[in-house]
Amino acid sequence: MSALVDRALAESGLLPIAEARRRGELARVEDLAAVLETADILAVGALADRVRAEEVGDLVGVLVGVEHEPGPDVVSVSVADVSTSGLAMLRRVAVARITGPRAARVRVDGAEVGPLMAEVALGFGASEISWATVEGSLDSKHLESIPVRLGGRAVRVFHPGSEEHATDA
Amino acid sequence: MPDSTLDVITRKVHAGERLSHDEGVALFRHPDLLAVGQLANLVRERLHGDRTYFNRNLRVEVTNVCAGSCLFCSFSRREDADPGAFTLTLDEAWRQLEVRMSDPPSEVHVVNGLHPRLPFSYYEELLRGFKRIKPDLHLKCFTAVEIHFFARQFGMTYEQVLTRLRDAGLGSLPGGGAEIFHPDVRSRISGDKATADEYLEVHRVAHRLGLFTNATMLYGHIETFEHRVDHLLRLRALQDESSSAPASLQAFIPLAFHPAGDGMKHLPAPTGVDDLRTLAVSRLLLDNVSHIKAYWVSMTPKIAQVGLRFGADDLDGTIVHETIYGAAGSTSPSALREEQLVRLIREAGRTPVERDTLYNVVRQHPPEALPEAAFPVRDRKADKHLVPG
Repeated sequence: MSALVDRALAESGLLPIAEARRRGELARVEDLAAVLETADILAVGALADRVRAEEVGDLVGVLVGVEHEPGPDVVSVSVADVSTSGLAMLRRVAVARITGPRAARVRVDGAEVGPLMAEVALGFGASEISWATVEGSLDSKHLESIPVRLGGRAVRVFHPGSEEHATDA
Repeated sequence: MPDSTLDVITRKVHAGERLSHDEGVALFRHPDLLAVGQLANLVRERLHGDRTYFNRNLRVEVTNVCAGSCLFCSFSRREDADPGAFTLTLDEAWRQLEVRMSDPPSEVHVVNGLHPRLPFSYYEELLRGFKRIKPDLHLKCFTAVEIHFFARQFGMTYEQVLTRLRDAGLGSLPGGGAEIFHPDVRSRISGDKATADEYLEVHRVAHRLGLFTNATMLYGHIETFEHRVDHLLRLRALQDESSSAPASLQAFIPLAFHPAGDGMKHLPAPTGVDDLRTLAVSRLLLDNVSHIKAYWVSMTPKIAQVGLRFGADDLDGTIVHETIYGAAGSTSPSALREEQLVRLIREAGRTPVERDTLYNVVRQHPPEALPEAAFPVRDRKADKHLVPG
């Protein structure tokens, strides 16, 4: 994380919530969460990305055609009611990461947000993209390029009834 | 890229210093997209504050018959008789404006195939006819590639072509046809139309004649980041030259490659991250070009809106009725109503400004607080899945 981002967090008033998150004080994070609604979106995204990197690492999970069971560690972020606003979608993803359980699998529905926004969401705290059907999902060339585009993040693809396919970072 | 490199770039951006080729490549490769975006946003806000521009424009394509054979193009047809080929009569072209006159555009934007048999008088009369319908209309017509084609086809210099078209009503040139300037790429994807030097020379002559122009870059296909930076720096050099001319480049528009239905369909399309990074690096490298457009037709309205935080200050316009990207499989709508553009801008926390083609303010919309926050930030559906871990 660059000094530039550190400065952005400070200027946006996000250092207290960042510190609370790092210490695992989720109740305190919740108390401070209002700032996330108005702070600069790039700063909120940077904080969410930092939390994602520290808690779940760089692996991107892509689930194609599998059941989307919520599970205790899964935060499925619905953006249906903000579907006209790319920035509102990204803020919601970032807030879900910052205020969610530690090391959560923050998941966006690729069909709901669209493939372009789904990838961008991976830079705002999401760690998984789900696709109900293979049709319309990210193709293999696209998946293999994600590590380059997102700075060394590996991709693991899960298909029903098949071995998972992973790309190296 | 080590953080020290980003620190150097950050210092230079804060000081308003020009970035180098290697620094441009480093920005394309830097893993922290949001840091690059923050730098671009800093420059964007330094230049324009929260102002975000759009206009009310009408796209008219009069023919898709084209002597060129660009590998990426799904719009063109080789011959008049080919399936899907069209060439409008002048009356048909003018009719596209006439039917919009109850809510008229301020600009007509014309881009065509390189038709091998239409006379030059067709294009002159096309412009005159639009002006007869709406005398104060701005005509932003014919890419530099078309101007080069006219010069070759009709035995004129660039200056003669541009002067005759200006006399017929031409107001400025759009930026299409730039693709990628570097010959290693250009020769492979569009080797039979104007070269990079010819494209740039047309703009140079237009600027000397007082015609403002835009420029584009088609990215996300076979080019490298080095090719993109080379492209941007050639435009920066042109703009330096034009600083003493009566006109110059007004806006730069990165155009995302769309692979569907053309000769490069085996390639993946650029992603949202690539769209945003390209906007941001363009803003940072083109320190002498006022405006960076997030062209919503090529990158979808949602990504374009996010782009307003990554260096872009312009969403182009209502664009009734774009067909070139539609032919390439774009899923973006072919038009947006003015209120939709205003809403996209407001939701980005920016202030919508309707402009004319030359960036004169037509209407400044009042700022509205926290438009993005018109939506609930917390996702109730997600909340019920939250189990403290």
